[in-house]
Amino acid sequence: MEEYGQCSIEELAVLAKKGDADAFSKLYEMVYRDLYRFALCTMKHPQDAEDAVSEAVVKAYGNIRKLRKTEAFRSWIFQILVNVCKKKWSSREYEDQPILEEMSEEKDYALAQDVRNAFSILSEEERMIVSLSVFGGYKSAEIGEMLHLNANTVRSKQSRALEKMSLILK
Amino acid sequence: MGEQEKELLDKIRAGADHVDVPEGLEPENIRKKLTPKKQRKWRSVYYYGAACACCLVLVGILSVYGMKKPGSSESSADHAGEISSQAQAKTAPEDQEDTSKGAIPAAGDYNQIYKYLKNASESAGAYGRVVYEEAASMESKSDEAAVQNTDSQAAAGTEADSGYSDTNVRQEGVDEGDIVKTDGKYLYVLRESRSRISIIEQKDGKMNVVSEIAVEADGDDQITAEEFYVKDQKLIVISNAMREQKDGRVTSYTQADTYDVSEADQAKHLGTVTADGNYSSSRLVDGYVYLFSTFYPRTDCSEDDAQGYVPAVNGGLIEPRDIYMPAWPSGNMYTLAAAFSVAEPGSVTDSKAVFSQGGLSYVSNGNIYLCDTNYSSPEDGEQTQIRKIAYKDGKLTPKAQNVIQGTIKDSFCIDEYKGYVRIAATVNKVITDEGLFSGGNAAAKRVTSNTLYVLNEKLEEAGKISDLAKNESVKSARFFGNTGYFVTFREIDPLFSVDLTDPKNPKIIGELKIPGFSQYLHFFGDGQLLGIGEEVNALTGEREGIKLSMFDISDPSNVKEENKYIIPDSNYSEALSDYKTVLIDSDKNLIGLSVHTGKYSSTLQYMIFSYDSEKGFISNMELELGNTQMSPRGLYIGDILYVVNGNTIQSFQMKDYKKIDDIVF
Repeated sequence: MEEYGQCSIEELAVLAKKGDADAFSKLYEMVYRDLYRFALCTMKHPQDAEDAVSEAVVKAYGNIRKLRKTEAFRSWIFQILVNVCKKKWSSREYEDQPILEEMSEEKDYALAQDVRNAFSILSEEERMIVSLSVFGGYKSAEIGEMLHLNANTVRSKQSRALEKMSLILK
Repeated sequence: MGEQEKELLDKIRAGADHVDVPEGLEPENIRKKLTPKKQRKWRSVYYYGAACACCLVLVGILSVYGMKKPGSSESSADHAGEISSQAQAKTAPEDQEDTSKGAIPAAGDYNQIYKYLKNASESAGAYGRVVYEEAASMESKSDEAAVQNTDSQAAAGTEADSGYSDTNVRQEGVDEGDIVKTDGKYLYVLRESRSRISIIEQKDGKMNVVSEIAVEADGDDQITAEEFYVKDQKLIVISNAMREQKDGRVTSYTQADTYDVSEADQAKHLGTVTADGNYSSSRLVDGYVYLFSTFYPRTDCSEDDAQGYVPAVNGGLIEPRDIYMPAWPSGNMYTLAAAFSVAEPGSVTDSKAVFSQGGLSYVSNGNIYLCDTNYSSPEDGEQTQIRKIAYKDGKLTPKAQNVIQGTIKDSFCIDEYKGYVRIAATVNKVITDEGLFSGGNAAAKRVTSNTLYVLNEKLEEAGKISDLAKNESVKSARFFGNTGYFVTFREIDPLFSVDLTDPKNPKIIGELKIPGFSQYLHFFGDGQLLGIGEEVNALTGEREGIKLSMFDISDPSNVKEENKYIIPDSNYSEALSDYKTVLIDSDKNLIGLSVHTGKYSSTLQYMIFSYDSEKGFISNMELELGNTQMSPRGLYIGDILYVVNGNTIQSFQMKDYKKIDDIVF
């Protein structure tokens, strides 16, 4: 993939839109760590997080031609991931899963213990708001657009979530 | 965002620094996965093509927010191409004075609304942003928790006579939906899947599932039940639904389904009401349900396409005369209120749409107060717009509006009594210091204080007390008749008592300083006020756990903390942010709440306390529960306590808290 080293995000996006998997992978490389961290903190289980990112990537690639603003790749793929995560929550199998705690033996789960505990007392929506803020770097108005909430609601929900988390992350 | 919040976000980020991304997600492996094998390339293309046809279409949505200039940190360079008319944005605040006070103006016609939205989106261009939305994906669920827990409160003591508990509400006489209800005979529980409600028969603590009611949406629409009511043998389920439009956009709507459950095993569907927009909350008063939802208008449609920018109720567009124009120059969404009678649950009795930025709502016994805060002009400090809409027998009548300086934390901080509205608000002022040492840049300093407002029926200021508790903010409040109590906090917790007998001249009559703070206040029998909050070490500022406090308020000018109890190893309680999760009954001497405990991991417990002036708080039951997606609820029927947690219920004798039965469904 070295030949793409000099390309700008926009150029990569243009190539990716033409179906160039290498260019797409290059774009993905710029965001995948944040995507995974976001999913890890949003989903109950590391396996769900991995599945969600994987699913989002396939969807994004399949629909890359519809990316209108090439520079908006990051927001766009985050939005797809948000929707995939939401879908996973509502599925029956997810409901029956054991909670995060019981999964703490997982090897690839290197999220700091206290951070994981702090996320575990949040609702799904709160986890998503905090994770979007931390790993997506989005402001409340942007998060509001992704989650169909108004900015004020996001702001108050985020403060409440952080207040809860602060009890554990002393 | 405060410094503390920023520090926390940094901490969370740091906590994820060492996260290893699974091998399967490494870019190289993803690339291999995506690169179609040469010989079957056409098939791959076909596959991806099919996938996009059924799962997602992308549309650009121009989103408008922050009409006035936000912080200068916002990089306008990123949006250089979108800058259109900054001047327009700047003139906007001047109009505000005319429209923000007095009567609530209705729209003349759709054209006025359309023009307003167009202007708003253009003038916001400089700060607005284009975001892509995976619109057609019907796989994206509606937001489960668009419900604003901030909005309402609780009658002191529940229905003692009826022999069973009801949802803890903001305002006595104004019912609120919840995820668990009882009518004294059956338990009604919203399942974790949020698609069905289970009806469980109980007798002496023994339980069995009688039936299940599944909520259904029109056609292929996706539906998620949010909460429900049980009243007079009717079950009213409120859901959020999403519909895929022909052009691929996805729109949300709120749906209310009413069922006859007089025969629990043969529920009959009686009618459906729909209102555009995401569900935010609802109330049930005197046989009428009032639904509140949030509707985001499109700005990319033509004027003829009114469905794009005018919300509909039961399929019919709201008339211009029922649409109220924004007081802020920036309201780019509607709060929609729709009412229907439980007796005729298929038709709407009235509906109004109010342009707003969204925010908390408080429903008194005769009025709806919509409060939205404008954060977009930090130089003036935040202001809150209050709009009052009267309701009676399913009719909605706009009354008045006004703007106050400051923010309102939750619905307990605003309260109506004898026509007056009392508000405990936290006020931020920005003082600009253009001193020698600021290097030419004005250094702005935020100064926080609190104001108690009393507004008359027209929402005009009758009286106020300003500059209370400098550098602290309101944490909780409760008003009772002519007396109000509110808690502010920085390091220690002053509990203020206010005498509101003369609305023009409210007086602080008491101030009690104790460590920690109460986030929820609840009158507990005669002369007692229960506080649920957190203990904070006054020296180190460290939080030491969830605290129950009982205040003796028999003399409001000399309030005392009679007893307190810090729950060992506790981290958090849902009671701090959602009053519907608590079970409090002073006649039964019952305090039930869920608590998260544990130093290094978090265990969810449901705890029951009783209170004795001599002995203090007595813990009667600590029940360990598994984590679920919904917070637990406690309720009683006669002498039996039921603890509902997700799809499980356990029952206990209340005399000794011995377990009787459990059920998983």
